[in-house]
Amino acid sequence: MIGFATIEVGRGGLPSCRLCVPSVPMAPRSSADVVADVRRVAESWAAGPGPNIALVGGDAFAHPGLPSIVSQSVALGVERVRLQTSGAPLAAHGNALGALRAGVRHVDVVLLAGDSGNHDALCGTEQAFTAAVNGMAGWREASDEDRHPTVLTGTVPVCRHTLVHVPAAVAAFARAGAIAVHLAVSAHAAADPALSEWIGAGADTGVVNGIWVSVEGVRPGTVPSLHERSVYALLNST
Amino acid sequence: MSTAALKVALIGVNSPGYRSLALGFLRAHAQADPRLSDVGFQTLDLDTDADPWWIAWRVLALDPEVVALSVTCWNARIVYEVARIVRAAKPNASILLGGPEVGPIAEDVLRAHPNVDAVVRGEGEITFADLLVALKDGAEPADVPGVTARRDGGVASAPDRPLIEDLDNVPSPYLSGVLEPVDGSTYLETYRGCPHRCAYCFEGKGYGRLRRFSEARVAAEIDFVATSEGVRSFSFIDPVFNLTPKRLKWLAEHLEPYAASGIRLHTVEVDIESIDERSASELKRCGVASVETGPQTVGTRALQTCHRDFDRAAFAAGVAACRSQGIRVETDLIIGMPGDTAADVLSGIDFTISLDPGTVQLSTLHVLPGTELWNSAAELDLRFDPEPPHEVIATGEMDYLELRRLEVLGNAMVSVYAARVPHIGTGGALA
Ligand code: SF4
Repeated sequence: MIGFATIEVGRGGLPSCRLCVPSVPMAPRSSADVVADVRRVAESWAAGPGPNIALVGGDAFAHPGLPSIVSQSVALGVERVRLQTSGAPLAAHGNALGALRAGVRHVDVVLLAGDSGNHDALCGTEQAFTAAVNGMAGWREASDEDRHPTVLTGTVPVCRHTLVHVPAAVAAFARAGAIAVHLAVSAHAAADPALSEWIGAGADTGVVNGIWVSVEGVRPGTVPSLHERSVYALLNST
Repeated sequence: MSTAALKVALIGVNSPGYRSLALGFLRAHAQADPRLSDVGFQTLDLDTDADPWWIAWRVLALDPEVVALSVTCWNARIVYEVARIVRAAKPNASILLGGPEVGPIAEDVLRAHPNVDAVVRGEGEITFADLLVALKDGAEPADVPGVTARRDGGVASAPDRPLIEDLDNVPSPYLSGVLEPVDGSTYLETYRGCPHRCAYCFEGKGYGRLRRFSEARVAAEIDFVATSEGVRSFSFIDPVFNLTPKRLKWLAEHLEPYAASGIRLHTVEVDIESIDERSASELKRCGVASVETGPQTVGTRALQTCHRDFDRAAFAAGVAACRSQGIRVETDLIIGMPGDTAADVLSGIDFTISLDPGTVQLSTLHVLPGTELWNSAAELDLRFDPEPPHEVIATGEMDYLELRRLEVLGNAMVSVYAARVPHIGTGGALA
């Protein structure tokens, strides 16, 4: 499994369930600090094919220094740059192609539900779902245009409020061309009596649509054990 | 207007971008047969993504009396549909099939597909020519060695035909002008058979011992292809390109001048565990840009069942030796091997990715007619689709659901590996 060293790019800016954890605007970390972390990772990489980094903590596109961070990472020899986003910035003209040409190959989009009514209501932002879907389409188009192998994955933060939307969210990612979805289940959701039903339906929705669903935070036996396996490993870089 | 006594259409339904080398051999041999000097041949190489009705249209536009189709597990469904349409449109045309999908189960094929008249079993060149002579002369097809055909309302098989002793007696499709060398889709065959006997493969079993084309013949084909206008890359279909150090050295000597002028060999199949620094540099002298290899599985039980060797350290060393010469390695893994658990498959994916070979490819087991797995499926508790392409449905270790999950997970892992910015020394090709 390919490992990605996680490097915090800031905090906030990603969709979250406003009933559990209200989202906050992105507070970026300094570009110099981020690049210093990238350099350290690149110079000491020993985790198989790579080096690979995952920019985590917030919506990477909200970081004003992102283009420079990505190009410096590539110059330092990083082979796989992965970033997380609400998806909306990828819909903005030129963003997807720009990120791709700078060296980003892996994009992870966060959704709370599989339709605009629920996703927008849960994250508290109008048109957020449509923007995310348009952004994912923009990423796929840019990848096709430049003929680069790229990866689109999804993350669903599963809380008591998003749990029932898991299958629809997986289906939305499948329609967008994602290859995998990670379900990060909160402790509260893990105690929900309907957990295995919804998570199981999400996992099965993935398999029949050819998209892998990995599950984190549930008791063994909640889903077939294969689903405990993710398609990549996030490695702590500190 | 054609004056041919018999018009024969050879139809290849190939993976997009490929042409049928098998049909090239059949035609080159038949055309050179003096008994068939009054027969007119035409070849159509079409893609598997073409609509069967369109393929039938192309066939019927040639107005042939004989339609010969090459059948693999990948194109069989399309071929059967084409046969049905052609039969309805031109009831008097003879419809002949050959190839690894139909040869080993010829009688079953004829019983299941009333539109097919005869099946050429095994190595086809001499059998096909003799069958055409029989059709031309009004003789009984089912009497031709190597043919299974209809007789008296039933199905009859003539005895098997022995393998061709001297392969040089089969004219080269390229040197005879039957196939024109085309950049990227020209394949040479330098020997038949395989030194290995993988239980899922027809090659090791079907052709038995190794038989080689002479060095003079191979050299002439290389010279012709490598100097053909527009050809910058070609390949070999041999199961093991690095068959012996001596042969590899000979190939390197012959190919080196062309490699120096920029001609590349793409995706030659190699026995990676026998590649060291020296043989990797020979591959580079040959102009090899990429090689394809196993391990297919790393699971001990599956390796044993399928008679495959796997030495982890030697495999890793072979990949590293190729990479050090800038040769990209495509590693292949098969999901659904008898004996493999999900953990074995994941271990194989993790192992191959950890070597950073360049490309990791996953496929699902197809239980092919005539192979050892086909014959011992019940014993191995191996369930597969009886219809082509005969994909595995369940094994003794994994049920249908687990196999499908594993396909999705494995393909996603491979996609994550593939999506990268290649840096010098980690993914660069020679070209
Ligand atoms: S799979 Fe390859 S090595 Fe094994 S028998 Fe077939 S051709 Fe030979």
